[in-house]
Amino acid sequence: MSTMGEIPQSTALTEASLEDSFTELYSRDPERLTRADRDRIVRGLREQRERLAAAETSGAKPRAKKAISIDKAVLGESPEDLGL
Amino acid sequence: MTASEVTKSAGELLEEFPLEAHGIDFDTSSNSSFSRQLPGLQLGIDSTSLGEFKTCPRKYFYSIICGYQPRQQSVHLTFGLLLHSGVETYHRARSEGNSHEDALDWTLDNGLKATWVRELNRPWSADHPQKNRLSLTRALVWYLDQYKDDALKVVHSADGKPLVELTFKFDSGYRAKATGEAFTLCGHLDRIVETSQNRFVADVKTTTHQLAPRYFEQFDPDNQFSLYSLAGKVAFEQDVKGVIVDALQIGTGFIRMHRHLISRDSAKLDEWLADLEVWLSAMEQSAVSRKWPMNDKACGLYGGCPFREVCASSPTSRRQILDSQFKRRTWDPLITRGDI
Repeated sequence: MSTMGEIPQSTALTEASLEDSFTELYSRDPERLTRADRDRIVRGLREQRERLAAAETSGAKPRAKKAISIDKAVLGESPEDLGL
Repeated sequence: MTASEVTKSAGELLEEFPLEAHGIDFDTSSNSSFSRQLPGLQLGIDSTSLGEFKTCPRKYFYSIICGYQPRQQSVHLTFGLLLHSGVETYHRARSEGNSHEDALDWTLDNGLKATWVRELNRPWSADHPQKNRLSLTRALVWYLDQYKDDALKVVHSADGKPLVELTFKFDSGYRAKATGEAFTLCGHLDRIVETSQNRFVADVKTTTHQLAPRYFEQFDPDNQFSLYSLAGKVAFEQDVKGVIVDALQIGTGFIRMHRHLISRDSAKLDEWLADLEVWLSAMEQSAVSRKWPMNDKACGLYGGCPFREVCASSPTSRRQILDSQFKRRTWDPLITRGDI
């Protein structure tokens, strides 16, 4: 089952910090970006995701109940089979 | 004249039906999805066109037949199209044997280039707190990372091609009574995927709203997903059981995701197809009578109709409002993808 529903909203500060670190890369003509530049972007976004997940597990306020309800009776699919 | 009258020649019909309705001129002669015999009669129908007509025939007339659209494209449509394009790029790359990291890099590269305004030498400025260039790249990276080892596998056709980025067009089985021309259903599917037991159409949706049960209720019943399920069966000959939707909530600084299964069994699809005959007949009747009536109970739906001000004004001033506040484009679903 996807765990993405558990990620809390980041603070404006976190967002601003991330944007600051990317400002130069995002303002550059993408034709001039190298694979290494794009890897930096990917790394930064992954780190942000991890930070948010860590904040959640360390006691951030609980999120709303998960929204998914698979109609297993209809198709006999298990959530795992669907990649949930 | 009624739609049930016998077929007339193209010349007779063109003479009988001037290209004007509700005080607005229109020309569908260069739109390949429209009848050459009866102006205003759409024969190549996608979920957007059909959905517009179902919502409000007048809205359909303004947006699909006349081609009016707000001067600035909705950020939601732009963002959705960009995300779909990115996801398609990724799956295409993976299906060609590339690693997750390489496919992701290719996707990011394309996404950054697609959001670069070359004429102005600056990034696309969405001017939206949630849907913008940064959140687009975040959505792509988080979503594709999440499902890099997806349990849903892309189905391959008999000749070995991955069923991704699928354009479909198939005969609805219905014909226009006035001209005898066939109604064709068309559109685009993201992917057809399979589990160990069943096959599904896969689609991605974005929203700024919470992914609560109410969000997913909008897809059942739903015009677009019924058509997609039917297309999976008819156009691609796959025994699809419905649509798996990956919904992405785009927040300020976060992405939340949920995967949800929307089932469509044969009985539901038969019912949808039977209803379609009535809707197509109504579309034809509007084209024949040159009247696309307002559904004045739909003006407030979906955040408010963009043509509300037009319809609220005097009929004599509508043309002026349309020309000043909207631009015209050709909506031809047989050529361009516009639905998300």
